[in-house]
Amino acid sequence: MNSSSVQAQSLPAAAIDRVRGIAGNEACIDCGCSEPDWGDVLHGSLHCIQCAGQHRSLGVSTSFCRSLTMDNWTEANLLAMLLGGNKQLKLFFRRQRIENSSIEVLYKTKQAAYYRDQLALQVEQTLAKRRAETSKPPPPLKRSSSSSRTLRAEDFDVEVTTASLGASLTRALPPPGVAPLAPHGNGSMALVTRVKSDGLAARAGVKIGDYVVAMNGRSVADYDEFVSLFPRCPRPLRLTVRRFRGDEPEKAPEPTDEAEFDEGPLGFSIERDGLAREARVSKVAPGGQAAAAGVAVGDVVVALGSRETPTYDVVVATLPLLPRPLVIKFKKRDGPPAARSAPSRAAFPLRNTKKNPPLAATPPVAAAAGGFGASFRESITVPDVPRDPTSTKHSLGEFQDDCEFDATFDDGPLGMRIEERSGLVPITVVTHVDDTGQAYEAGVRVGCVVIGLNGERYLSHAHTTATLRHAKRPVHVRLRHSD
Amino acid sequence: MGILFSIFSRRMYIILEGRLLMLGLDAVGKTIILYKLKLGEVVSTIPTINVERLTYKGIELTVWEIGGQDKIRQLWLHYLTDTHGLIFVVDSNDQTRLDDARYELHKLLHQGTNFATTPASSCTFISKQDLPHALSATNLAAKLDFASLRTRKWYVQACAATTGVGLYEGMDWNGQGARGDV
Repeated sequence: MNSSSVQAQSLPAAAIDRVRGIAGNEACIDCGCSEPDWGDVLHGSLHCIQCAGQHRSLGVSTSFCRSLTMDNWTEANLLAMLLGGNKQLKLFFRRQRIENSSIEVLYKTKQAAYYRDQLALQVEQTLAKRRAETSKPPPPLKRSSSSSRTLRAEDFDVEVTTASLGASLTRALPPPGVAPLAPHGNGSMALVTRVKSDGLAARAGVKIGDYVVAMNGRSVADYDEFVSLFPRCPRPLRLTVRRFRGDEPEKAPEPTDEAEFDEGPLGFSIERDGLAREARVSKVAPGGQAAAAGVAVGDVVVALGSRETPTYDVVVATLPLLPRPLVIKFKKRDGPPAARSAPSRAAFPLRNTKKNPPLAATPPVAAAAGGFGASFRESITVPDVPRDPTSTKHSLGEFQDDCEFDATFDDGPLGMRIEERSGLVPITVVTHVDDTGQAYEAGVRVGCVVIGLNGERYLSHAHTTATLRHAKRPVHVRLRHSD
Repeated sequence: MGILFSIFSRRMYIILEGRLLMLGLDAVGKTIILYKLKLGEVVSTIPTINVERLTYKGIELTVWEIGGQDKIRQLWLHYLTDTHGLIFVVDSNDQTRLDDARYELHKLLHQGTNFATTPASSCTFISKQDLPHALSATNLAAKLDFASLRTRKWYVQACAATTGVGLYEGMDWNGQGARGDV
């Protein structure tokens, strides 16, 4: 009868736990008493019943409190709670120097209104993204359909005799309309992103944009299987490489110096460029507006609309406010325009991003924070609503931090020790590596951060240790190099 | 002499009693209205169930006020028994949840027809009229689809609980309803 009450439902216990687990949510944001039960879905904060009562008197457009246990929640409400958090809001108020105001004053300030707007925007964008994901037609199930109407697949074999292939590969989603290789894989494929000019792959004719689909005639389930098997397979090894034709124009837009951006996420992040204080692109979200316009990592923003040579601070301050469509001019990293010819550079996650902030280890809930400059954070994976267990699969392929690598452990001692390190978000860190153990051989070093096991990410320390101790080997551990 | 007079004066009045039920979505201002009527002041409230006795123009009214959280809404129906009048409160500033309010009101009245002793009349308070962006009472009455409630007496009263405007007009109507029932 009414749309909102159809979608709304009472929160499952797992969702309540997750909301309570966000930094600062263990206590009421206003009075600090424990066991807050009332969520303000406009601020993403948790309150005790007394403070929620005071919030109610502000009106539902200023503060809309819902009970974690008694009320029905929509997806947007829950998402606001996951993107928000008491600590984040408190820090925001502290930065604005209004944290000591009373409830009636504090939440009616224009700063609080700004925070609400940003959070709502963030929620809306996340929902839109998810809707776009779910509304995509499901890929055809049969493998044979990979050579369908639009894409023509061509396979050829590469005989690998050396340890190294002479090419870099990354985790990527299959091209549009192409089914994942195996139903039991995680849906990713091994994509060639760089070919060494004098390497084995180059001699065999492998090009950027090719996919490795089989080893010794046996199909590779996903990227992770390829990464774990490739170093251990006896040589010579026969790799089957598949090239899709017909999708190049879409996948490799001609990079331009000027890019026009419409409403919505820009699809790139910037960082301060050393002495020059310029804004340099540090990350390009695959499939985003920036990627489509040919923006690449390392490009420098040289004009913002009519404004020439803005500094990093100017870009950060004005970019979210400028009207769209907005034309941004970039200076290409490689200098003369002729030098930037790598066709797939903008279309796929890039590999030379060592300077990336270590986003992958902070949980997405904290990383995708609202607040100032929120539009820069589009490339960060957003939290999955716990109600939808299938969506975790998506986030794996969404964002590839290049500091990450996989280590596979067989039977026997791991050859490393891990420890929980507390902080805003507790992380699991490698504190000791034996010189000759399995861990050392897999490239694990002291300081590496464990971010996932067997394809799952963001596990608790207890879960990680228990799995490493008791789970059946081989165990695939995903780690990130320390910075 | 004084005692005699007081006994006499008490006999003069017929003591009337009524039971009112006050419902509405969460955070629409039910508790504020109740305590404005009872104490004449604005109190800070927590989401809850309140019962207060108050005397209004010679009628002893027991007002049951039930919270509007989704899980408590399921209990509304059971409080309808032996009720002389229903007060439904709608937040005139919250246009996004008007559909919810209409749905809950109509559902309640529909289910309520199965009970023998349900109130034949309902008064709807349109609260928070003092805030900006408030919808007018006529506008809201149309949106809440009162026209379809043909067999019932209904009355829509705009009010602002913090100032008390409109509360007593609504209570007058309720009082008449209660008198008629008693």
